[in-house]
Amino acid sequence: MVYSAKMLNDLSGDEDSVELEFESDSEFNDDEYGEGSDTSDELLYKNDKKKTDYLDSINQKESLDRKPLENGYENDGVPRLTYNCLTTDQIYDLVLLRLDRIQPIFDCPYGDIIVMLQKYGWSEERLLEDWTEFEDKVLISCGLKVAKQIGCSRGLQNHPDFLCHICCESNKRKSFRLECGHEYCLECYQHYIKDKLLEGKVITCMGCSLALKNCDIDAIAGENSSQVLMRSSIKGFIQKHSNHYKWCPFVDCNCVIQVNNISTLSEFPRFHLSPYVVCKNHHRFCFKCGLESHAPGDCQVAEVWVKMAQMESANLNWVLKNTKECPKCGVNIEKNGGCNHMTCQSCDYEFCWICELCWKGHGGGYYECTRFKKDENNGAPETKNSLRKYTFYYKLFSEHENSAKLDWALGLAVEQKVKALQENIGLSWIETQFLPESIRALIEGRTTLKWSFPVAFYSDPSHNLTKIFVDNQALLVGAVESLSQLLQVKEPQDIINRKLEFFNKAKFVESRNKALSECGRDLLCKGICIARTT
Amino acid sequence: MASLPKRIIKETERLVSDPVPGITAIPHEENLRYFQVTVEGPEQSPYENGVFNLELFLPDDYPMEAPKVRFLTKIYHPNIDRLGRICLDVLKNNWSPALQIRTVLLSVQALLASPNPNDPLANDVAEEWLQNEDNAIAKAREWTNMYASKQ
Amino acid sequence: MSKIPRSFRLLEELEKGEKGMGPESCSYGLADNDDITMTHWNGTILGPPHSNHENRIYFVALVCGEEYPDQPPQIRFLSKINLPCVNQTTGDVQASSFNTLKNWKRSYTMETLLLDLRKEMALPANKKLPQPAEGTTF
Repeated sequence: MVYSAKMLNDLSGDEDSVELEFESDSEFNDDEYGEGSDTSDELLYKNDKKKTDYLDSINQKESLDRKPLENGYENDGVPRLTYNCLTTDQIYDLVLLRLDRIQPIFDCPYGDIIVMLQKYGWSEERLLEDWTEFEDKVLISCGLKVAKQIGCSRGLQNHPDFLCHICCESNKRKSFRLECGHEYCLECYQHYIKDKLLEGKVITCMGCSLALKNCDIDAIAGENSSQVLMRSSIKGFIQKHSNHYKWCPFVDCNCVIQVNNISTLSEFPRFHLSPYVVCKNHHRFCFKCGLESHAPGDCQVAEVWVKMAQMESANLNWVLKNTKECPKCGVNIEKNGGCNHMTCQSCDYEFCWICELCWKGHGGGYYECTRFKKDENNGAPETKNSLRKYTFYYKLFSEHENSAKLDWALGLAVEQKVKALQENIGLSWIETQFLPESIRALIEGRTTLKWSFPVAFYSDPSHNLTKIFVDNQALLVGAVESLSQLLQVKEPQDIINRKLEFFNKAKFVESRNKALSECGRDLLCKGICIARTT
Repeated sequence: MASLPKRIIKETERLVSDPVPGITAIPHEENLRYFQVTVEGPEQSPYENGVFNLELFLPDDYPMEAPKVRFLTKIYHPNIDRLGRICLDVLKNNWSPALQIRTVLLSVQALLASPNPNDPLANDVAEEWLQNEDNAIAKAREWTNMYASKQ
Repeated sequence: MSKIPRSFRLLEELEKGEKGMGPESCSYGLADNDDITMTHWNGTILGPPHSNHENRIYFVALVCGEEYPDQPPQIRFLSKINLPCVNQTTGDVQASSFNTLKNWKRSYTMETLLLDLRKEMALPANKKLPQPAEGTTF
């Protein structure tokens, strides 16, 4: 054998290979992908310490040279995930780095090896396996060798009277051909390649199965065209290997999370934990189900809830509107921030967006409207009541979803303002970091709140722990609304002055978030919350 | 109407001057991209002695995009469904701009000679084909007589 | 632009309907899967929210004649509905009082038709019209 076992490591990562080469090869580590490294937080859950630093562990920046976990488990048997956050371009760059090492095995030009890898779905292992046995067959099946040599030169051609067999026009000067001798005009070739670039498969000659290499593609369709093809091919690869790789589900986010120890994934459900990962744009999502973070619910709760919402979508449309009439004066009010404490611009009436009752009635920090009140005296059949109950929780769920989106937009606007201020009065970057951190705490708090309603919905309402959970919900609502309100402060200088307030409120949200998440997990572990389709 | 690409004119001319045995393709006068097609059932196949009507359309992007082809005559075949849609690789993923109307129609004829029940479009037919080939072939013959007889 | 023939156009629409690539608020398919001429179709329209049609499913029958898509299909409600453009004895959608049929374009599809009918139901002038009992048919 000319190559080591390490080289055989397969980028496609078969089910049973726990470690992927990108992790094991030290030179691919964090030096090159420094940005990726500081988000490759690992999630640390401790079963025996319920009130442990759920959030802190997430925000913790791991040191770059941390020791790899033993089999991906902690001493106490709780699973941990190790992962990298990459982009498609980075994944391709890693492939190119690998090429340097495997090139001597093939003794072919780089362009040929790329075609072969592409054909083999970027699986080095399968390619090498076939290569050692039937080199010639591999070359032919990948379109790198013609069965019969006819001695044509490859590349752009220039004849005055070339007749193209695709368009049947004879006035085209420039043409292109491969060693097979099939020659077509440049325009037809460009047209042909254009759509294929997005498919990600090996592009062949129009007349036979000889492959176009990246240099051919660039020669025909212009520089960097092959880059588009490579990107599409890597995308296909990610889709095919979704057990190792997942796209960040957030809109317009191009991050790919690569999990190194996928065998631990199956361990999470036992603890009612979800394998959350955070991309470098700070989007947290569940690697198992691909949804955004759905704590305190587990994947089961999230799945059943989402399914139910889809089934009831027709009934739920009314919930999703963004304008309401002021309960007092009837003027139309549009919600433009996440805060649910509304003040009517026209009559100054203060009310809660969710229950439309006077804000004062909510009392200091205590939020009645997250409680579902069973209609005691209407004698309606149970099914009707259960739909009413679901609708009630769904409304809360979607209100907080909208609020999170609005908070996000508001946060961005505020950040802009503060950035301007930072430049004007010379504040250091570090001094303004409290703001994005507060916004992050706020969004995460809202997301937890949002998903706490499905948990509440599926929990036994008579159980004491459910009551504690609802109290915890109310406390998080209070913390979140208070922080959200602070974000409405318009004056940038005012924001800077109230830095400490931001800091404290954000910390409070984080600790309430943690408490609610743990309490919810307790409900699941003890079987008080059971999500099932009705 | 936009002028017809040279490629389509040439192909049409050649279909007339140098026809493929057992296959005809005539463009409609009012739409020169739309062809009325007949394909004879291959010898020694259950479709022998049948003449099948098809329609073929060359989309805007032809020859970068494959022609669209459909059977108009009812046919009992595992890769052709009840609406006459055909499951054939060269009409889909394996299309190449170097292929032509004539090569496509030859592939259709070849599909009649060698049905592939493992890659079915008409599931019920394919199942019959796999479980009881003799029955299936008899039925294909029967349908050919019923719907595709020459006169 | 070349003119796509009737049959290939209908096959495209069928595929879109079969694969469920269209919007969720309407659906359509062949009435008879053996109909090689693809003339008779069935469709459903989900009543728009905030109207008297909310939560109702309306069944319609469509006929795509020889001249489709140069000419619009005929469309008839099977479920009873009270709309100005619907003949109250036959359920036929009357071309004279329904703009999509009146000003039909070749690029319109059956989906366009169903979605526009749904819009018609949601018009302020129509959404509160009293409706016949659910489940009754013409």
